[in-house]
Amino acid sequence: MASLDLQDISKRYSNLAAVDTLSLSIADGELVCLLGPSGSGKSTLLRMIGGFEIPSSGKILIDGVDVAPVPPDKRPTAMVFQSHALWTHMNVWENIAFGLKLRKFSRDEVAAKIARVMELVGLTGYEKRHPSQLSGGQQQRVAIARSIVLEPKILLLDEPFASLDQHLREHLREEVRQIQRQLGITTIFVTHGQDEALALADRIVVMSKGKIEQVGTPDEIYARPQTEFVAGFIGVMNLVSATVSGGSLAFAGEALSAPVADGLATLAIRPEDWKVGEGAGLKATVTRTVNLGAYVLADVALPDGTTVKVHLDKARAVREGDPIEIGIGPFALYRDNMVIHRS
Amino acid sequence: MASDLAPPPKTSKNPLGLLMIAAPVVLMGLFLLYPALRVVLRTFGAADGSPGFSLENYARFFNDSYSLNNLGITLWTTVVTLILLIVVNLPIALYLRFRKGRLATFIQALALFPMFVPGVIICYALIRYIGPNGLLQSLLEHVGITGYQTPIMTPWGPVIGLLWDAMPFTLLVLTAGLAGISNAAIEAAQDVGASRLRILWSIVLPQIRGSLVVCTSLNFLSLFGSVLQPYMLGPTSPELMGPFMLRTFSSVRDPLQAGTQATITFLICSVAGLLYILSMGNRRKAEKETVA
Repeated sequence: MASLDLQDISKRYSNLAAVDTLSLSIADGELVCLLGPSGSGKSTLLRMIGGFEIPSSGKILIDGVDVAPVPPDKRPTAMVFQSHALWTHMNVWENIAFGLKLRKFSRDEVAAKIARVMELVGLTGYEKRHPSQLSGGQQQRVAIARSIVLEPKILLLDEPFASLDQHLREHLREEVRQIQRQLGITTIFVTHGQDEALALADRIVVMSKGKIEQVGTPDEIYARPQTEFVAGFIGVMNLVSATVSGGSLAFAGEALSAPVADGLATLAIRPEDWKVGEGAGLKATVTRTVNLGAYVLADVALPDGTTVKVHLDKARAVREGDPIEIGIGPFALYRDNMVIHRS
Repeated sequence: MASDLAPPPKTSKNPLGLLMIAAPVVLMGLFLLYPALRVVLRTFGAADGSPGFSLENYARFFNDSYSLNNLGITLWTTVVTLILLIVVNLPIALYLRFRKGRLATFIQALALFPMFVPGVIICYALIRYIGPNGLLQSLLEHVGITGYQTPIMTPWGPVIGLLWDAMPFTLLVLTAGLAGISNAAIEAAQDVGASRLRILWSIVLPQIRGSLVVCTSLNFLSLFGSVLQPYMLGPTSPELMGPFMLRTFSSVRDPLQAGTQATITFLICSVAGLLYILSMGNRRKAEKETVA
């Protein structure tokens, strides 16, 4: 188990910066999710930590030791790949034993370590099977077992469940969380699924265009996004352009208090933060409803033509075309991608 | 789940399917299998053509030191060429698999170039270049190196010609096999501490075993029965089985003995063929297991 410090890490391909002067500290035993859209640099950053990419500049300190120039096999890290990357000509036992044999463990030690991790990932009895005889979820468990059997200080997971179905993904992420807690291993998990990050992480690092947009706990990231990008990327958010003038923001005919400098700003409000019901203020019309199980997500057209998303209680039984009254609840204002005001 | 899989199409009871394969099967039977079977059966008769079973023709072949030498040199040429094909092409295939860019494209084009040159042109080019009084000898003498021994008309002549000729096919099969290994599989091995040599030995080679078997067995078939390169670049004595059969048939005018030589060649090649069929069978079995 170890701490990780990234200091001004950059990775440039010709003129393009995949990771741009990024710094981050991860504590011993923490599970951190790198979250971002495709091309945000999260996998490149993970691959640099694992030693598969050499940083153009910066330091990667594991327990205070710079490992930036060290090859992957000499680092105290282990990587679980998106495509499982199992060796198809070896059975499960051989896949897991390969790294142990390279480290010259005795036969008894290898057997004992493999038995322990097989139990940990719930695959005892599958030792003689080949990868082709396993399901996708089982293959990913073998890949995890192959990595943790080497007792790395830092476990790196690169979108490990991307190829699995939603149900299995939810199940496996719970297992990963349990294993991580059991072993207390520092873990970095790359994903582009915000639900995965919100459910799994101690802290989330939201990335965009090779830079960190925000670092925080899942609650902080969801409730208090620091940038407009994070606000739009995490969860569902209504983002509406509005003009601030004299400390007031005009929105759908209402004046909202906005003690910020005059000019254009982006109003951000979550669907669940609208007030709904008689006397809420804005008379609107439901234009579309989507049943999301516990609640209904409705598209609501405001009098000025703006359409916003609103969470509605299922008990309301609204239909498309029904009139509805909504009012603005807690909101945030963004300008130049940074938050400038929260109500 | 196997039970979820659609049943295979019942082609055996489909008259249209039978009709479609009827013409090629009849043609194969008439013009390939029947004459081949006749020749093989005749070789198990008496040398003078009298009826009855006899191993006389085979006894003649195996008691003749010249024929045995020819068989030996053919086996030697085939095995040496096969080894060189793998030794030369595997590093190129590995380079092409793991390196991208202009140099890799150029090397690939260069390695596949022989595919587009007729064998007879290759032979003439080799004779003019590395043959006696060829370009190479002249160049060496220009820089003061004398005593050049040409490989043409020695057992190495056919090896060089066959190597050139079989290189593109071998390279294509090996690169196709290597393309099936993901970068992540290599990186995973690197991650657990394997050196490059260990990755090659424990991860790459076992995963291209099928491709190695395919190019070895198919090359064995074409090398063992080759005629052109051994005829144009090889020694006249001992000679390889291809030119030997040709000469026995057309110059010596002994079709029965040529048939015997061909049957022996066929039986040796069947071992390579069997290896190929077994390899294909294993691959299908593995695919079936993956589907199940």
